[in-house]
Formats: sequence, structure tokens, C-alpha cells
Amino acid sequence: MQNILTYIFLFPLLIAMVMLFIPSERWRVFRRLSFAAISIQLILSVLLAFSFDKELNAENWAGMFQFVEQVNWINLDLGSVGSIQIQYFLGVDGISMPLLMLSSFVLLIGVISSWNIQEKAKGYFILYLILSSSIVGCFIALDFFLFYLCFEFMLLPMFFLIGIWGGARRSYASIKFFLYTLLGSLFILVVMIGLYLSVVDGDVNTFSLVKMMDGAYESGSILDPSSPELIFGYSARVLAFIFLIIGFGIKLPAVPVHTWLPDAHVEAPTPISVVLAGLLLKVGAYGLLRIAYGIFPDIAIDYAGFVAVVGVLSIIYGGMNALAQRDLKRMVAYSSVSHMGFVLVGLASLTSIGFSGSLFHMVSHGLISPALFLIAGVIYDRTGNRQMENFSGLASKMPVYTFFMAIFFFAGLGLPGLSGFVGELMVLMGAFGSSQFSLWIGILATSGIAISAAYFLWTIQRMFYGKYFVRESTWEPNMLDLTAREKLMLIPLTVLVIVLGVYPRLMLDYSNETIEFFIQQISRFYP
Amino acid sequence: MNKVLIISLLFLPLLGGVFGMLFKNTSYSIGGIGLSFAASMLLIINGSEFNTAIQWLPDYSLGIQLDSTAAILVCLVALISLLVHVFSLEYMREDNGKHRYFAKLGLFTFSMIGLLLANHLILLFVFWELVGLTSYLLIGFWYKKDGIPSSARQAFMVNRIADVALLAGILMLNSQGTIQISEMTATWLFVPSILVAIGAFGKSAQLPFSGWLTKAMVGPTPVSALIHAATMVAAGVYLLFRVAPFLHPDALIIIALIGAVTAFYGGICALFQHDIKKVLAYSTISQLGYMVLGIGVGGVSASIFHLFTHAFFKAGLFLGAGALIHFMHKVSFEDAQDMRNMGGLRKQLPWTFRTFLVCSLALAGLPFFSGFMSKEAIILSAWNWADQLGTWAYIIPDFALITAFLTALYVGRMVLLVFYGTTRVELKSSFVESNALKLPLIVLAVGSLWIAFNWNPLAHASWFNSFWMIERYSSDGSLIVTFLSILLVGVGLLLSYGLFKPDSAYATSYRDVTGRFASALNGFYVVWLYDRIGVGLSYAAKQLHSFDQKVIDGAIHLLGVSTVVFSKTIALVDRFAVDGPVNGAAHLSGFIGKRFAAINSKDTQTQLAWLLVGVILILSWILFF
Repeated sequence: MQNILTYIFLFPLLIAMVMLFIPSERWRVFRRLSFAAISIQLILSVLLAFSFDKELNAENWAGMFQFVEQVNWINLDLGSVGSIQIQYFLGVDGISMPLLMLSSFVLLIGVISSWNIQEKAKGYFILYLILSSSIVGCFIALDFFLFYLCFEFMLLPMFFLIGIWGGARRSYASIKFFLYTLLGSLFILVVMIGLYLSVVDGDVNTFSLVKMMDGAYESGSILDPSSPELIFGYSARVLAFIFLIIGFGIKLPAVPVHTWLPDAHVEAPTPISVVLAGLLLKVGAYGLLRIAYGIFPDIAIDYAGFVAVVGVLSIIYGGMNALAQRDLKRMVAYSSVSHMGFVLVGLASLTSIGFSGSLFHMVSHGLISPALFLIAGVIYDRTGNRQMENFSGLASKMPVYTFFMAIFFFAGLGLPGLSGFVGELMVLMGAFGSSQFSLWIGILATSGIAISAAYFLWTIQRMFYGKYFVRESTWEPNMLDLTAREKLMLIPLTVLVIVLGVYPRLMLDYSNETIEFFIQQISRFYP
Repeated sequence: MNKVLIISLLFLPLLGGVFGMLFKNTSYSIGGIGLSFAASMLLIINGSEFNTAIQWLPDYSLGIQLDSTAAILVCLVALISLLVHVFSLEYMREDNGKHRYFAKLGLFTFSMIGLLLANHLILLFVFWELVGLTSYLLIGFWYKKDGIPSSARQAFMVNRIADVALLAGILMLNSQGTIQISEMTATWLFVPSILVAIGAFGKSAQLPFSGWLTKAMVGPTPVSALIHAATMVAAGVYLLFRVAPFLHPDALIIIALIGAVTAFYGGICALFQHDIKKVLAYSTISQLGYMVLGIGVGGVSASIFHLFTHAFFKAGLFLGAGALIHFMHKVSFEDAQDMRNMGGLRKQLPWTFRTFLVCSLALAGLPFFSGFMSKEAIILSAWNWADQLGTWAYIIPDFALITAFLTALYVGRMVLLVFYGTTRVELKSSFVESNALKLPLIVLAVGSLWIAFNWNPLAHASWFNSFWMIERYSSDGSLIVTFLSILLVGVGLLLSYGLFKPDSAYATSYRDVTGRFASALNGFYVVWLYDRIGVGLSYAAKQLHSFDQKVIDGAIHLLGVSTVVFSKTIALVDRFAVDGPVNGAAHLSGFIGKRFAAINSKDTQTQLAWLLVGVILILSWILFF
């Protein structure tokens, strides 16, 4: 089990390097190799989950992480200015463990979904594996620099995957996506540099997230909580927290910095939508949880109301926008905006049930939204069209498809017994139990479950109920029910959504101790 | 032993339904629900209580509890469900999707029993949503027909909106204390009380949520009997029954008022319907209003008693209507649910007629029928409650009495128009009531007689009262009220006979009656109001989306465009302002250089001339400065 995290992290990258030497005519090799690489990654993370100690409890953050790998990586001596010390520092705790599992799983679904890609298959799968490594890296990196490297490195393959294999307006969407998220990254970069200059390990500055969370500040440095320095009348810590909210909020995405998401989703090929919705959004949420809330708990308390309002705004605004959509994929994209709002509300509540709920909702949405994009992809693969008014009565023509659609639509609208409900319930429990903001936040957030019902049910009514009809007669021969490959993707997702909905402790047992510790850390800062 | 019984009675209907769908055999479903009913009977006989819980979330243990009330109601649900299953065997025999249908019925029975057993408000909410889902699926069962998908969606949405209030209420209580039902003690604050009550109003189709129940009538008729009359709609009353001791006093008054107004509203609307299922739907709304009223006035056990009797006679009426509709489908091409096409059917459907009559009289509340006993109990509770509160409070028992009169009136109208007189349409073929149709009807009719509940036809309690006994205001009381309500029912029935008897003007011309009293016919436009809200919401969504496109995305584009413009400007500045002087300097020096070079290239004389000019310039410099 030694260095298992490194294997999980770098194995896809290794396979990608092997692929470089394979001639591109043999396009079938690439998908098989990718499948093997991600499968091994998944097997290793399952093994990791089995040997993960769920009961681990410690005095400080440094003790909370397991399977830690820490070596010095880059050491630059800059003479009188100082030195830059970057570590290769990996580890998992109860927050990153479920997300790591989710990543390997969703990435595997993505590979299966990419099975029929022949055009420039070599480039596609190499980029996909690079993406895989960097996503996983984000969840296990404990050095801020390493995290930032992975965070930025996701953009590059994503840019090309949308820009080359995407739909009609792909170049517009990919540039928009790239610039938007790059802008967010700049905010994070500023905070990262500030933190590096303020946090010390012994007597040298460090990028270690663990030290940052444990608050090992050099006295008198800019981000030291006791530092009296103000920038434009605000303390540097407040600005840093706001910067992180903006930076990760773009990735999340939170209203009003969400407009990249519908375009990117609509233009991206199905597998990339799957990864984008399932994992990239979670990286934003994870960053908020780990970095913004982990390092700046004192500011998080002061700004809980602000974050909650942004969350509620996302829930309602995203939901209302989803209601107005006529393109199935766009509707799903806006529903993601709405769902990620719940994550913000849960975080803002600063209660253990709210935090657990946010994390659970991340995992649950990481299963539901890929399935929803697969479902949108099914109809697009067959007809090249996704406009709702072009279809009707699909239930009688494609019953198996309708069955899976119903499961995930109802999971999306938070039906009890499916995982979506548990996440929303816990977040709302946190929101109502929180002392940070008024009851109205909770009530408004609860109204989100009615809005989500409205758009999902309306879609069912328009596309699946009624008399069978498709707009173009040329689509008619293609309107066949699900293929074996499509079922292979949807069945595991269905099983997980039901299992987590019925027995949420399957995941919560992993995160419980860490979340309790997290809340305890935050509670030290209450005035 | 009890654990096995409870687990089996909960899961058998679901398993039966699933197996039935997988193996395309309805006997699995019948077997599952039959065994479940047997298990519930055994539990009643054992008479034991039961309580268990599992840890669901880190700090939340969700449990099920079987107390005597839950036991008797589980038994009721299992029985009605079994009868509906048997009835559906005949009713759905020729439908292609019948295995899907039985699976959904199984899922419903599972959820409904779970709802009754839940000992935690969150678990109750879980099953609450599941019964809502099955209701949606079964209303939309014939999804290919026009109008059905939107009715199903509207029913679900109205429930969902009420559920938002319920969930908010539950979560508010959760942050204030325990929400384990068996451990609740303190009286709640007003806001959570009213939020929970709104949730119950949604499920139990009280104003202003009543419209969904009339929309739900597009589903198969046995489903209407099971879900939209006997069991699911009573879930709201059951929830109120469970939480009644903790509700805020002001909330109770509001509950009583809403119940009274809804009872009256349902009675008025039922009087003007032409669709037999709509008559029954409005009647259900009205009767549920009685139950809600009963909870509000503290007649908790009277309400549950009425829930019990109502389940029998209303399920009997709906199944009877189902038999009528089934018959009409077979023998006529006209609209099978429209009473204007019926008439004189007591000859064709003798058993349906007899059972329908018994159930109707129970609904009307005539002595010697079950409905009389439970309705009297509610009215008496309301009377005693008003007695303690003051004169204004008599408005509630008054509403209840007027509704009793209205009930007798519309019941008389329905029975007379459907079964008496002559058939209004031509019948194409003959029809025999099969046993699968007859048996459930007879069982339910027997359950609507007084003897099923108490040997004394004028009593206000039943043998089962010990199962749910909690009471704030007794339903013992004045003979005047009993007398008054019997009188009102009698007058109502007589009046309806006078108005709608076979050779009356109304009955003879009924075939061609069109909508007078349009607002009562349309349920006072409650559904229209929902439609307007829906349209408004989707308009708002469109506006918000164009805001998203134009303003928010527009701002992003503006940012992008202005960045590009800025860059272009910078490029121009760079080219002309920065690079310009540099190039200018180069040009200038080149120009000057050329000029000077020109000096060299000329002949010697010119060079000498320039030399002279230079010398003169230098000399003048020296001389003059």
C-alpha cells in the first residue's frame, strides 16, 4: 500500500505517455488503454477506501490525513529575496476520500461514454488521461502549489476537448470557459502567494495546506489573523476569503458568475459534459471547503450570511432558468447551477450536518448530473437534436430509456429514497439549525425543491408523455431503445444513487470524523 | 415474530408488485398484498406494540413504531388495497400495461403502510413523498391520452408546493427539539404548526390546494378509490392526528376554519357536477374537510373514526363508479363518466346498484349506516368546542350541519340520476357483473353498515375507538344536535327526491343539460388559478432567462469586447504613439543624413561654397557671442 496515492494520481498520466508512442491509426488501442488505466485507478481507490481508517481522530489537521506522501520537490534559492520550497505532498482525509472514489468512478463512466470516438482518437484519449490525473490530483494534493498546478492543468485538456470534439459553437464555448476559469484562477493565485508569504513550517515559508489550516502564521505577516494591516480598509484575510469565493465560485459555478457553464455543457461532447458536471464543479466546491473554509474559518463566520445569500440566489435563479430552457442539455446545465447552490448554503450554515450535507450533495450530484447528461446524450446521438418540442411520447417508444430517465429526473428533484434527497435534506437541516443567518434563507432554499420539480416534470410531460412523435421522419429509424453500452453506464449509476439514498451512511461514515473535527476547528473562532 | 410480521407486511406488497412486473403475472401482486393483509390481521390479534430504529444519518435514528392506531390503520389500508387489487383484475384485464399498473399499486401500498408506521417526522416525509410519486405515476398511467400528462403534473406540483411548507416546518421543529413522534412533548410555536398544517392541507386536498384532487380523477378508477379517496388523501388527516397534541392553539383554530370552509365548498361543487367521478372527488374533498375540522376542534378520535368509515364507503362508491364506467365502456361509445349518459342502470347492474346505494346512504349520514356515527361524532365535538369558545365559534358546527344537508342533496341527485329512470343512451351489448367486480363491492358495502362498528346505530364511537383514543372535547352531548342533523339529512334526501325523481323536469331533460352554475361546476376556478400561476411562473422564468442572456452574459461579453477594444487601442497607441516617435526619429535621421550626403555628392565648387558658409558661421559665432 506504499505510495498508493501516487499510483492513483499519476497512473493515467503514465499511460498517456505510453500512448504517445502508438501510431494513431490503431484508434481502438487508445480506448482500451484508457479503460484499463481508469479501471486500475478505480480499483486502487476502492482498495484505499477499504484500508481507510474511518475512526481516525487527531488534535490538528496534520494528524487527520492518511496515506500521506511528502517529499521536497522544488527548492529554489532566490538569494536575498528568500527561497521557494514546493513539496510533493499528498494525503486523504474524510472529505477527499469520497470525492476521490467519485472521481475514479465518473472518469470510468466517461471513458465508456467515449467508446465510439474515432476522430483523432489518440489526441482525445491522451488529453482525457491528462485530465483524469489532474482532477484526481486536485482532491489529494496537500501542497497549495501542487493543488494549483492540477487546478490549472485541468483547463488545458478541457479547452481542447471542448474546442475540437465539441458541437457547432465549440470554439466560442471553449474560449469562454477557458478565460472565465482562468480569471478565477488569478484570484486564487494571489491568495496562494499571500499565504505562502505568511505561513511558515518551522522557520521557512511553506505551501503546505495542512500548515495553513493549522494556522502556522509567521507573526506580523500579511495574513496573520492578529495583523492590524488593512488594504483599502479591509483586513487582508477578508479580501483573501472574498477572492477565494470568487475564484472557486466561478468553478462551482455560483450566480452571477455561472454563464460559462451552459455554453460549455451544450457544446461539449457527452463524455466531457459528464466529467465537467460530475467532477469539475466538485473541484470548485472542494476548493471552497478545503481552502476558503479550512484556512479562513474566522472570516467564514463573518461572511456566512453573504455566502448563504449567494447560495439561495443560485438555487432559485438557476432553477428558474432551467424552467425556461427548451434544449434538454441546457436545462440539465442550469439544474446543476441550482443544485450547487445547495452546497453553498450547507457550507454557510457552519454546522456539521450542513457540511456533511454539502459533501454528500457534491457526491450525489456527481452521480446524478453525469447520468442526466448521458440521458441527454442518448437522444442527441440518435437524432443530432435535443430540442424538447421536437419529441413527444418517448415513453411508449423507448421504455427502458424512460425508466432510467425517470429515476434520474426524480433523483434530481429530490425524491426520497434516491441520493439527491439526502443531500438537500441535510443541507436544509443545517440551514434551519444554523445560528449564522435568519430563517428566511432556509425557507427560500426549501422552495428550490418545488422549482426543481417544476422543470423536471414539465420536461417529462413534454418529451416522454403524450402521443409518440419526432420532428423529422429521418430520425425515425434511429429511435431505438438503449444499447448495451448505454445500460452499462446507467445501471451502476442507478445502483449507487439508490444505495446512497437508502443508506447514506455508506458515504457519511467516511467523512463524519473529519467534518466533526472541522466544525470544532471553526467553533474556536466564534466570538 | 412481530418484527418478521412488520417487515413482511411492509415489503410484501412492493415485492409482489416487482415480481409481478418481472414475470408478467398478476398473482404475485395479489399474493403479496393478501399476505400483507393477513400479517396485519395477525398483528391486531397479537395486539402488541413494536418499536425499532436504525441510525440513518450520523445523528438521526429513523424508526418505525407500531402502536394500536397504526396497527388498525395499516389493517385498513391493506384491506382496501387488497379489494382494489381484486377489482383491478377485472377492470384492467385488457390493458397492455397492467403489470406496470400492479407494480405501481404495490409501490403505493408499501409507501402508504410505511407512512403509517413512521415514528419520525423525516421518515414520515420520506413516505409522504413516495405516495405522492405513486399518485403521480398512477394518475399519468394512460399517459398517451390528451390532458392526462398535464393533470398528473399539476397534481404532483400542488402537492409539492405544500410539501415545501411541510418540510420547512419539520426542519424548523428539528432545530428546536426532537421530531421523533413518540417522544414529542412540548407545544410547538405558531409558524411551524401552521407550516405542518399546510403540508397536511396539500395532501388532504383542503382549500386552496383542493384542485389537484379533481385533476387526479383522470387516472384509472380503482386508483381513485384506493389513493384519491380511501388512503393517501387521508394521510394529511393522519399527520394532523399524530401532531394534534402539540399544535399551537391558534393553528388549531385555523385548521378548523379551513376544514369547515372546505367541507362546505366540496358540498356545493359536488351538487353541480355531471362527471360521476368529479361528484365523488368533490365529495371526498368535503368529507376530508370534516376530518380536518374534527382535528381542529379537538375531536381527534372522531376524525380518525370518520377516516375509517369514509375509507369503506368512499372506496365502495369509487369502485361502484368504476363498475359503472367499465360497463359504459363496454356497451356504449359515449363519454363513460358522464352521468348525462347514464340512468336506469339498476336493472343492468343489480349488485353495483345495491352496494352503491348502501355506501351512498352511509355518505349521506343516515342512521343505521357507518357515516352517520362518525359524522355525528365530529359535529358534536365541534358543538362542544364552540360551546367553550364563544358565540362566534358556532360558525364551525353550523358549516358542518349545512354541509350535512348538502351531502344528502348531492348523494340523492347522483343515485337518482344514475340508477333510476330510463337509460339515456342506447346500449350496444349486454354485460354481466363478474365476481372480481362484485366481491370487493359487497365487502365494502357491509363495512358501511352500522353493525361493522357498533351494535348501537346511534352511538358516536365504535369498537375500535380504544385503538386511537385521545380526546380533548368529548363527543357526548346534546340530543338537539343529533336531532338537527338527522332532520337536515332527511330534508336533504327528500328535497333531492323532489327535484331529481325519475319523472321530474330535471331528470327527463338531463341528457341535454349544459353548464349552468358554471363557477360551481368548475370548482370556483381553483384549477384555473393554478393554471394562471403556472403560466405566470413560466413567463417569469422566460424573463429571467432573457435577463441571464442579455444582462449577465451581456456583461461578460461587454467585458470581453471591451478588453479586445482596449487591446486594439493599446496596439494603435503602441504603433503610433510609442513606435511612431521611434520610427519618426529614424525617418528624421535618414532625412537629415540624406540631406548631408547630398552635400558631399555635388561638385568641388559647391563644396567650397558650403565650406565658406561654414567658416562664416563659425567666425560670426566667435565674433558676436
